[in-house]
Amino acid sequence: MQMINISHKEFTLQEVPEELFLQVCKQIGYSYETISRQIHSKITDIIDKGLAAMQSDFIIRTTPITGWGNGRIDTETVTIDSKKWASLLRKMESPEFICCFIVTLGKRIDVIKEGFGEKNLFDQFVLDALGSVLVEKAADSLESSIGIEFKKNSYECSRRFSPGYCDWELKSGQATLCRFLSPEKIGVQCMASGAMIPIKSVSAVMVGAMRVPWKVPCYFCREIRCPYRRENKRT
Amino acid sequence: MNMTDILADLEQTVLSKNPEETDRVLQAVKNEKYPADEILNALSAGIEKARQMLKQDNFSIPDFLLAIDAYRMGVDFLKDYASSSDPKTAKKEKLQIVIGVAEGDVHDLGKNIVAAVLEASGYRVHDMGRNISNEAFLGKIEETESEVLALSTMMSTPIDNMAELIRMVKKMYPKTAIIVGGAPFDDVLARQIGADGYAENATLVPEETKRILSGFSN
Repeated sequence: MQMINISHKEFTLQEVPEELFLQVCKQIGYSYETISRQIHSKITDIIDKGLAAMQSDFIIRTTPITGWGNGRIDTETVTIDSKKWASLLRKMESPEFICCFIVTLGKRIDVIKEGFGEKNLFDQFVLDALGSVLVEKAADSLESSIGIEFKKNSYECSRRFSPGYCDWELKSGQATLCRFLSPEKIGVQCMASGAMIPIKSVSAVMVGAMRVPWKVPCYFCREIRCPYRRENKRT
Repeated sequence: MNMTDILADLEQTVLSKNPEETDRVLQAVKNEKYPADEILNALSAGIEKARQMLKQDNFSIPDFLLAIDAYRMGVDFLKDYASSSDPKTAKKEKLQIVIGVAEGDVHDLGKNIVAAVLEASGYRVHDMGRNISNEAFLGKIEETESEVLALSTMMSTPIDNMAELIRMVKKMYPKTAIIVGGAPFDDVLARQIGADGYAENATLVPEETKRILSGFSN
């Protein structure tokens, strides 16, 4: 399985503004029951602007796994330095591929945020929250589509994992993924620090194997205070 | 309404979560030609109350940001108003702060909030933006002779470079106090890289800035 075929038509975020409103309120710490009509309308306007500006795009590539152990996963083109994820591969049956992707909301969200200027911190804050909600949804949607593609080819897959999380170091991990994916094709610039521009972009990797009984390494991880720890440690 | 009532009204509008209300009262103020100092005091009292309400969990962050937006609308109004009505106010000396996001990081929302809080606390803030090189920070300190450098990052990767900048500032501008903030920091890390102060969130920045400045004047 060398290619994951997900068309841009399949990948569309169909957002219901009312649902998004509740999610944005949650993200910024506002109880929607108590906000005034005026603030409600301010947030709704910003959501409309953000949705109109969003130009989501993605880039995906797979590469065969050539080995794992000693705290790393080796593929033909990418090395992932993560003891925890390398250990997870031991639990899988025939891990064969990794699928790398970067998804972005596009630069227009950043442009609008700049346009709000320093006199509109509330608007900046809400738009930033909206971007965070949307880019996570975009990454979830892509992860789900990739999972379906794996399944079509009789593979199972891990959850997505990203540089800077778990024990995968941000700077080197991001550089590795950016070299492999060349995201400038979709307008994403990787900085040496590991940051990406547009800010609302997510990079990640998923592992494909014949059987993946544990989808994340949380079940053997001792970081019990990790904010990203999954309660159901296998999934 | 007399001046005291209108200025109390102005102070209250900063807390109203409705910057348009502030605009309405400012128009009334304009017609009455009140002293700019008094107007600024009313705005500052409003933003200070908002800050205290946030600290006591009576305001959420977006509520506080609406208060800042209202305050800044008032300050903008004063820029024209003060120079025409009270030149002394316009030229009042303020302590200066250079603020920016460290090189390698482009997350600037937190920095924008801190810059606004510092401005509302009476400092003259030189906001350099995001992904700022050490050389640019040093140049700005040289140019403005600022008393404080405020550095922010939301990522761990720029920290080594920030430590290097702090070393250079200590050597070249020993009278400039340095405060840091952002997701990767706590008190210990701030001290480890040589910063004089650290604020966990924007509401604590004014007190922490005051504290480190008092150490520098001793």
